[in-house]
Amino acid sequence: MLFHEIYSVYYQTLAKLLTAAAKRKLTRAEMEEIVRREAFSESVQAIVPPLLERRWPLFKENGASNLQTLPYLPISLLERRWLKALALDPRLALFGDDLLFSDDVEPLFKPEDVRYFDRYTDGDDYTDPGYIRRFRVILAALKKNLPLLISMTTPRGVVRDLVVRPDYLEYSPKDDKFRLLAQGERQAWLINLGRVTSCELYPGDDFQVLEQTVPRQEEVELELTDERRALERVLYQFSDLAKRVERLDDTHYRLLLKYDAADRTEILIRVLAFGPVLRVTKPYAFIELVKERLAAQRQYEL
Amino acid sequence: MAYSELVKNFRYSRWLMREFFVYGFKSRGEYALHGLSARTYDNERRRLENWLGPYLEFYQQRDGRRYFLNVDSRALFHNPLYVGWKAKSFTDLAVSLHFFLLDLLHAAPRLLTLVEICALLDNYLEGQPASLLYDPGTVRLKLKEMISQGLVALDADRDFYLYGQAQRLPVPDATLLDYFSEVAPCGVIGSYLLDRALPHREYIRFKHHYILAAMESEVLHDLLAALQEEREVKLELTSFVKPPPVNSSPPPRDLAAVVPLRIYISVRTGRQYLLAYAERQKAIRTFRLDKIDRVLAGGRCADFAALRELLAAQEPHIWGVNTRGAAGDSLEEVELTLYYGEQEAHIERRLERERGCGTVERVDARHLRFQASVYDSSEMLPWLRTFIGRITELKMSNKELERRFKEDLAALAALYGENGGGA
Repeated sequence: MLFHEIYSVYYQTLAKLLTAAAKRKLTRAEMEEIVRREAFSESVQAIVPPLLERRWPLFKENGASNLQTLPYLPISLLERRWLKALALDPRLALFGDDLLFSDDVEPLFKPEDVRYFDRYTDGDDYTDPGYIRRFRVILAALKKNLPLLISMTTPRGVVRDLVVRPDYLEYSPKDDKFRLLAQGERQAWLINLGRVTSCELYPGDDFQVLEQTVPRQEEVELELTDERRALERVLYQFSDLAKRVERLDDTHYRLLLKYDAADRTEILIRVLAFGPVLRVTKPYAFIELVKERLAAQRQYEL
Repeated sequence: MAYSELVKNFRYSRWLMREFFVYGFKSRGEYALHGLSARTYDNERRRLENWLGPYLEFYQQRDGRRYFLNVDSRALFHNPLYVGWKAKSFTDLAVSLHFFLLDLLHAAPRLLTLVEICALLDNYLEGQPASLLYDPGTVRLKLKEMISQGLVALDADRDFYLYGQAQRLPVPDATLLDYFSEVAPCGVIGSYLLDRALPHREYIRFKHHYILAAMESEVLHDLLAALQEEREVKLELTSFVKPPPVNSSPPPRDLAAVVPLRIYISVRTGRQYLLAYAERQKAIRTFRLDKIDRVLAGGRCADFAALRELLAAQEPHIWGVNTRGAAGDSLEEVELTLYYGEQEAHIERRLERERGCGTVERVDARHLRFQASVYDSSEMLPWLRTFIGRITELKMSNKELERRFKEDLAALAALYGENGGGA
């Protein structure tokens, strides 16, 4: 059963309390501090009194743990079956070799049980030994906060060499690609790992980020007309973005979306996909993008 | 019932979480019209505030506050909605027995009988009233549950049962769990494992990340389990426009008897679907997972392999998830011709990677043609619109849809004051 108390925040918090109490007796204040850190905002009132009143006799009256050993929450059969399913995923190799313990349980699912039907077909090749090696180098550099020397080929076929400090990896289930967000000396880079041809830790000690940059955000405001179940379709489609929705009347809604400026074209075509039920109202620059597409389309008699 | 952070049944919280996340413009009064009492609404909202903290925001309107979940999934390392799955309520007895049994089985140098376990349990209750001592029947049931969960080992080969601790297994690499808990099916299980990992820095974020699918984790799990065992199931369907009924065990409202064959997941909307053989229609049908309230497992299906083959034979003509369209089981033809400029080689790459079950050919140096034969060409309309600006020709065997596409294009042009629009 997936929804069960053995996976609850409360059980995890109790294990942490008991682990702390194995080293020293806990005062009420110490219990409350641990609960505040590990559980929900109102959990202190729900966890500490039952422990002190011994409704949950996990502690002795003097604040010492009532257990003989350190608490241990075993890996359940459900969790083992899920891990066994991961063993069949080629992306597992990106993280290392022999990462999962050998287990004779049945996997929860196999690759043929799930189909990502609208995923792009030019995703990264996770079986390519070169890709795997470069991914592991990048991950190691991230963990050690070390700069990388990267050679990549741009979409136009130009070879570029970069020295960057990696910030984080980003994965898109839609593209089935990994990208690396990294800082060069004076600009940020979003590097498609599929375009990287070589990647090593930078051997020098002279690299320095002189100017930290972050992706610029933009906003677009839209008016939605709820025809053909558009409200549900639009709001689901854009639920991967930060958004706010206001109702204007029974059938019209105002939708505000935030996105990275680099994704403007992608957002444009996602808006166009809904046709006339979605109209851009702000900013002017985005409206002009839509008009350019419509003007270009006008020259063709469909 | 008094308010509690924890819930016995996740349905209400899950329903309101979805409402706040997807919509977020309804007032308390509107939820009352849906049948959600003011008290229930207030309790559920307070619970979500506890669970989700800063993600739950509101704005003020004349007739009250509008709560919404504001989550930029690209800025996250972990899905905040998993928290609801970690809020199951429990009894005093359950929590005490859980920790005591694991502890005494680990401390014991050998396997133990039920009688020995009960005697050892009494030691934990030293100084407590005798009425609190655990009776053997209760302990046996708890052990049975823990065995089914894989938490306790059982040696049943003798005249009496012997119990011991389950094999201690290491929590896998945390970065691996960080990734797969967000991208693998039933990723919440990875989140459960992460809760036991050591504190660590995260290195992977996600784009095009649809986190609401977490709400369907239990349904997805039950369907995947049925798939592995090649079982028939009954699906209890729901509209989810209205909140779930107050009674936690309502009589079945709408049951569909099916054989699950494959899960389809959209990476562009986050929606999850079941493609299954439906007994009533004697055909493969599609069910949205967010419209399934419960999955009731049935017996093994002797024809599973043949039904999977039936689906496999249909899949080359499924554009999205539908196995039938306006023309029933007949196929519909779509032909799209596009123009691309000299500096627009990316258009050809785009068409190739997005063509799905269709084909792409170069008509000449500046034109590409996409063709497909599908059951339901209406599923293609949104994707076709993304090429507005370069569509030189569109032909659809479903003339109603072709007409609709062209009318929508004209309506879109009129919205922006562009005349003509190519219609």
